[in-house]
Amino acid sequence: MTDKKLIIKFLSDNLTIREKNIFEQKLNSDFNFKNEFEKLNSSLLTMKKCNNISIDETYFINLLAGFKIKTGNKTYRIFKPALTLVSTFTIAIIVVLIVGQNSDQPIINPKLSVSDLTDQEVSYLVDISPEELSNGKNSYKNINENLSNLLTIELEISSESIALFYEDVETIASSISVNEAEQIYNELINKEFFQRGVK
Amino acid sequence: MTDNSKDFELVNKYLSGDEIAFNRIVNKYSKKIYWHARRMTGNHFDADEIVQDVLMVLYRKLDQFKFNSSLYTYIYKITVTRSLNFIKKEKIKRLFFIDSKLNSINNSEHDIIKGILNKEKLERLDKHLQKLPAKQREVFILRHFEEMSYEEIAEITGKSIGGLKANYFHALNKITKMTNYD
Repeated sequence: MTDKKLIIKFLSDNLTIREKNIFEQKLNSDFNFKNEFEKLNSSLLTMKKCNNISIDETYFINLLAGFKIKTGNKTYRIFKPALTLVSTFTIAIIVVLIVGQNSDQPIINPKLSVSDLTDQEVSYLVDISPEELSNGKNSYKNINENLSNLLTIELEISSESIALFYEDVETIASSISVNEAEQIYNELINKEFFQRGVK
Repeated sequence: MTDNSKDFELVNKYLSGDEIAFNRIVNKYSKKIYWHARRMTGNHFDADEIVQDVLMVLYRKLDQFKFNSSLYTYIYKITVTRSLNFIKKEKIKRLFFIDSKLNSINNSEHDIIKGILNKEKLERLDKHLQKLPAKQREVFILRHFEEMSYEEIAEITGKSIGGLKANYFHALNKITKMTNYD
């Protein structure tokens, strides 16, 4: 066995106890062998120093944000019916916020932020079972009807305001910034209700 | 509290709906995932794809974590498997000349390594590592760079310690031949 092979066997822990003893004796008595060992060891250590290379840390800082957006995109592909609901529901929430500020009508349910709603509340208010939703049985019209009920009955907003809402729906949708829409979308999509179809 | 129990607490928090706990897990392990993937693939672009893939698996399947091994081992198991799968897929793609040109353009544009000297140093290392067969490369990376014991590597890869030792021996033998040592 060559010296190099013996050293590599030692470094990879492939020597028997007897061979290890011989190796150590040789290391202590043979100057050339010791030199060879140190040379190989230092070459491997130099390689290991690549661990300390300076990197752009912003990649790791932005990693999570990028991943969350990707998670949203994948969910969209898998669970399209949920997205129809999400986009409609998002508009409804914005309208509730706008109407809530301008209307004299008292709003019984003060939970105006999506993050304040529990999964059960979301499911109850929209009144669509996850099964129906994933089968795509509910048309856009049905979802709108459910939302209309949500706004008029559950949140007690006047039907005139609701009529305004339906007229202005496109204006409202276009006035939401991408970031705002994304933030609301992320809040909604993280609800257990919307995750069912994915898992 | 040990590192393991801290990790278990984070997993439990995430499973009960705490998204911040997931963010903490990602912050803690993303560099390890990245560097393993980077050394396996030899470039940032592919490593990033593997990192995203691993995070997606964690995000969706962390509820399958059994708490009978450390989170560290669990994450490495996913990373190692995903990296090997990625390499296999790339081999097939290359066989049919798909994507190879596109990747080489993207690699140089989006690397996270700072400084030309560092880039050159890493490129040299990558060149050597890429010449090793994937399984030898995997063992070499886990043992040499990530300083794991054979027992830990065996738990992650599911291979015998004898087989791992043989793989590491061959990898070391080839690497020393490739570097300036000879």
